[in-house]
Amino acid sequence: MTAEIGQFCMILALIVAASQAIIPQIGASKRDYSLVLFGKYAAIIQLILILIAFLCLMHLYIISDFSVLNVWQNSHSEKPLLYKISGVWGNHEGSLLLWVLILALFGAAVASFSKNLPPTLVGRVISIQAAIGFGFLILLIFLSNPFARISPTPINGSGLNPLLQDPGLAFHPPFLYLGYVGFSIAFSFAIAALIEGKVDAAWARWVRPWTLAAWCFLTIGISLGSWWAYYELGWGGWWFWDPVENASFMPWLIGTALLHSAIVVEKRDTLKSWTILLAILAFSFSLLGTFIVRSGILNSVHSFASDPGRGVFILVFLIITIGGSLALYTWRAPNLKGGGLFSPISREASLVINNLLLMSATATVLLGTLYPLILDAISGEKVSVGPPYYIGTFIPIMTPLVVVMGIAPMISWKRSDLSGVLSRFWICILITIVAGLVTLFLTYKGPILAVLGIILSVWLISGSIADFLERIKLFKVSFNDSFKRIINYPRSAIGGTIAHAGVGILIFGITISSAFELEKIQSVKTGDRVQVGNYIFEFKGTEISRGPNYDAIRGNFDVYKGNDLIIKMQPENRSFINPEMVTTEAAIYPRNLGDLYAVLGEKNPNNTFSTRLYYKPMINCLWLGCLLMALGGFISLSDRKYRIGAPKKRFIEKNRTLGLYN
Amino acid sequence: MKQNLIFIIPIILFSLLSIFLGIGLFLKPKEIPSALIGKTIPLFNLPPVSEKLNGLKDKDLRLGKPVLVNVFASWCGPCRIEHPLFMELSRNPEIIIYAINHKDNPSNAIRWLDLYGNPYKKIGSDLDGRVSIDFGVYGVPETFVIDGKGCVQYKHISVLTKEILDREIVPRLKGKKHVKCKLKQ
Amino acid sequence: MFNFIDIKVYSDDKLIDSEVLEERSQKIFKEIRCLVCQNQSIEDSSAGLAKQIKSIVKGLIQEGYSDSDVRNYLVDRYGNWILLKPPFNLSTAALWLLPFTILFLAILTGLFYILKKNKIQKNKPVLPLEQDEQQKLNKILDDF
Repeated sequence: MTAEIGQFCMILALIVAASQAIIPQIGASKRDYSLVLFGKYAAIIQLILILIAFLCLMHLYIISDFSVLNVWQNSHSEKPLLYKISGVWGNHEGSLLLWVLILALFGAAVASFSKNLPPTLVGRVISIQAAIGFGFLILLIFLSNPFARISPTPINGSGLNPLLQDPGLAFHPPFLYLGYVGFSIAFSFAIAALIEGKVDAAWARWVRPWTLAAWCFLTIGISLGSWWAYYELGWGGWWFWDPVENASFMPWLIGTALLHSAIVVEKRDTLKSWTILLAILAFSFSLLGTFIVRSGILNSVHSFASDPGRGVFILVFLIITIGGSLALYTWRAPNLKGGGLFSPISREASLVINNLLLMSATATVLLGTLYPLILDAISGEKVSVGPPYYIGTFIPIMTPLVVVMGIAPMISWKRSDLSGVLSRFWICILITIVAGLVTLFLTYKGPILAVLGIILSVWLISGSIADFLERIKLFKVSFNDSFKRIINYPRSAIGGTIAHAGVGILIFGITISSAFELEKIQSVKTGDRVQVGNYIFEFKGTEISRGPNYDAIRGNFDVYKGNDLIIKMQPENRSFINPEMVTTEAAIYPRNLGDLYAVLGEKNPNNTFSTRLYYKPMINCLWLGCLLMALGGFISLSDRKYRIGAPKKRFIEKNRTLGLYN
Repeated sequence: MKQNLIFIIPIILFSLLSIFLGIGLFLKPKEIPSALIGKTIPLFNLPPVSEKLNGLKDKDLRLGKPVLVNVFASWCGPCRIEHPLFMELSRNPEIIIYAINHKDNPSNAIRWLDLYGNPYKKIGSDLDGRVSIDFGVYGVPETFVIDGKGCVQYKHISVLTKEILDREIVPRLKGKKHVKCKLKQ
Repeated sequence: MFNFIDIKVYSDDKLIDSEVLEERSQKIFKEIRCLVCQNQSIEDSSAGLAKQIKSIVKGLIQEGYSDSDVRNYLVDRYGNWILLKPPFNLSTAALWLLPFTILFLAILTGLFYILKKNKIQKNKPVLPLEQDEQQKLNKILDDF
């Protein structure tokens, strides 16, 4: 019965979505606000219906109802409860339902928190949101029904890929989708603004919190995926430039550009048509990512089982949605006139540079991702585009971006003089030069990229700190005043500073961990000692251990530094039964922001074990950096001016006199 | 007006992109054509799987007549699916089928052949898989067509079907669609 | 360009004594695609074929092959597909050149735009705009 209720709710949701797509749009153009109100209620009803459908599917997974095809294919009665639940979105149909649920959630959120928005704008946004939902519901109901039954009912399910049975991956897709789908709000606002023909500071102020929230979620989602790869895939890699990873990275890059250009629209009323384009593109890239993942069009480790029918449908949907909105853009965008003028050395100019570099980076990733396909389509020739390509093209683009990033927050709006800014920055420049020279000296004839990475990260981190100190005027005014400034420091600015510092720390982590990683791959027998840098791993043999749905060989390593035993590490080699698959469970021991990392491979015929031992210095800076970026975003999001409702005018005035809102 | 032209760029780029995505849906990214087509076969000399059978060496592929070389293993499930096709082919005395037994225990291979029949004139036992790598093999089964001069004409990856056999392989065995080898050994 | 070496067997866990050899082979491993696992380098893969290719690479290096000889050896057998870093040739020219072209054009467009904004600014006095904008902003804030 549950499956049928879920199915029924999906169909009802489809009908609601259809009416929600049409009626408020009419209401907005006829200025009939009761129709807009209808749309608001429809958005909430749609959320409830899809939520019921989703809960039905979850229920089916929890009770292991194998008469439902999807449950049978992806679950097993002996699976731990957490993975029964996360298994709901560990497959194409279920994850699509999650996608639609989050879309409805955002739609309902706009509908509920829109008291202060012009009703026509709300009507149009809700309607566009529903139109997107309508397309996905069709895909869900007709081409990927998660509630389809099978007969006769199998005794047990085929189980979930053991690699996916992991807490990191349980939360990776929901966050990723919150990010992907969150950009739909910016998209809908952009389309609505194009229809209305009006983009102003108020528009930017409404769009920015949604974009920021989506960006934060996407940052968390991508980091979770990366972290999962790091500890689960068993060789300590965390980013592979795989098409599916790129598919999530491109919306992130565009989203980052959008966040920054929206500031320009908000504060300076310029870069309007550009910002609208970015808002369209951010979500378009999310859709493109969906297409890449679900059509199996590219070789990827992540693809769901591909189905040409779905691929064709999503492509058609893509062409209608993206093509339609870009056509609208071509038609309406030329009418958007921006006002604000600025000189070459100004915050606006630096943000223009930021945007163009981020766009170039996105274009490069897109090109690399699709080039094998394009070449195959043109000449039938097959090539692989792997990490060396991205490293070679990405770094030259990101380097100037980081240089500008370090200094831009200190450049004032409209016009500024470089010498003035640089004079306030002399200490950062000095620190950076010293750091660069020291690295060059320490890694004599070492990897040159390491030197570059350190220079960039030190520049960015010191720049962010200097920016903060400058704003609170530490030592320039009394401590009391400085403290007051910290209290009144707008959260959006603090958030920005933290996020920028996060990027610096991230670059630091990437640089050090990849340039100075130590790796030892060997076969060991009991009693063997392997030296990895200053650490000695002694192999003490193996034992058998048993998990809820797997058997494992557990290796025992005693790790010494000098003569001191610092930790016993126990990597496992797990054999799952349903489905049959062997995975490695690395043992990781964090030490001085780095990790000791041990992997136990298979047993060799001569009774030795293949093992991989690593020391990954500063790897935890990577996660810390990502965390700071997301944290910065959330802090910025909590800024009063983005609160729903009016910002306290007095507060703004007060800060303006303090020169904080410049 | 000239200003407005730049607003067309996004949709033009998107149109191009969607054309490629559309074509891409009908491409098979996982099938990699052999780099060896139009090249000469490697030198090799593989021992037989049993004393009663013949081994395989490169000279066997240069006897002036096009031959089929099937890479198989007893542990390979899909090989069993295509096996009847080879059995049927082997009834035609015109067609010569050789095999490379990839990373397989010879006694298992013999048992397998006893069970399903032996369509192969000669079988080379490639225990360590090294010759297979020289042939650019990356999975089993794979099937090669080699002309009488030791020049690789065609390669099929994964299970052979009747359709592929009739359309691609039989014509090549008759010397059609011939590709000349550019380089001499 | 198609020289087959003598057939030799390299055992999987053959030890390489020289550190240079290890370093060179690690570098090559990172650039060679694991053929059976779709999107990993052989460095990252423990698939059988990846292991075997790793041991072949080590063997070739020991025999005195240069890094590019080793790559050519693999390309001869598996095509350019096996290289994660596509070689620069006619069919990959666009892949390698476009990013830098885009970057160049982006910077050029950016500079053009910024200078244009500046030029208009120089022609117009700044003050009235400031007031105008202030009013606009105040109006927006009042709207809340």
